Amino acid sequence: MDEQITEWGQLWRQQASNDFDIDHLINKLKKMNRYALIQKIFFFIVVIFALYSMFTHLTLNVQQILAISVFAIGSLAVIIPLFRIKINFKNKNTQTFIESNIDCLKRKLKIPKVHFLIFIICSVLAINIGGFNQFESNLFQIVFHISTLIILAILWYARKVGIKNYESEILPVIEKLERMKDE
Amino acid sequence: MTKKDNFKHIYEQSKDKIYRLCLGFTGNTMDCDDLFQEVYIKVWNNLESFRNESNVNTWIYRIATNVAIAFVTNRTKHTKKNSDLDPNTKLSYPDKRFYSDEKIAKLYQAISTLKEKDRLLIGLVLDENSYAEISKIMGITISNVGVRINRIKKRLTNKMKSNG
Repeated sequence: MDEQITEWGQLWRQQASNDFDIDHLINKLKKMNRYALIQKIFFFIVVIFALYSMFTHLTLNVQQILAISVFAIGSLAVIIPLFRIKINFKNKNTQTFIESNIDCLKRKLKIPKVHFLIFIICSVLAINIGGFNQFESNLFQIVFHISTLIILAILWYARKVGIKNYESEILPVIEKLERMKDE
Repeated sequence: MTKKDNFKHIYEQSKDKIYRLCLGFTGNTMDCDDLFQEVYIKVWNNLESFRNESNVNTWIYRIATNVAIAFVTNRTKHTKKNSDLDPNTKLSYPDKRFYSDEKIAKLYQAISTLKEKDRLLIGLVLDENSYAEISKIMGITISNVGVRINRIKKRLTNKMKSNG
């Protein structure tokens, strides 16, 4: 190692860390872990209760089951990527981390573009299946199906806004990471 | 050894070098403290995954460098969302009184103006990590480490000179 680096190294290593209350941080982290556990338990209870209510209170004929299944598929199409897209900080060197970060962000961009689109289609389809032939008057039946088109239009607009927001937030980050990767 | 003891042990062993890496990366104490705390939050959250398979030094440096990269990307998101500020703009100016020496302040400030990966690399070099270790942490070849160090040295010398 040459002289210049040695001299800088000596200066660099003179700088010590700030006084940092590590016990306070540990207590805060333990609290956060407890809170996360409570959230998981709460989510689990809500899911169990929703499933229980669904199976005990709905008239479960083929039409209803089909509607629920289509809606569940649509919901899972959004929930699964939301839970799966996580950045892993451990056991990755800087270069791999940057690459996996870019990959994560690109997958995140697909959430409003692809996954939310599946959710919209499935939801509207599920409502239409569930409500098909449920009204005595043909007029009400038609109004019901048309109103689902209004829901479709609102969700479509929300998706459009979502895509715009995601792109304005994520694209500059991807650009920055791509530049860092190639440096 | 409990998780808390293990964490404290790692913290005591690594706090100074991680702090220096954060300070060199951010160039100011306010961001440095945030980044430093963020690194140890990630260390705590990933402590179970560390089973002494790799060197603790490499493991913690990998976390620190990755958190530093994420810190920049988060700032890019934040600045794009809230203002038209350049994401590289420092949130606060370095407090020279914090540094124990004027020369040290100049060195840290000069390093913080390098490219992100170069800041991390020179930080690892100045804390006496071997080329092989740096190669493992950064994911570049050993020969590339040498090439980059030469390039950074030239840039840093120029910056130090221009800063007086």
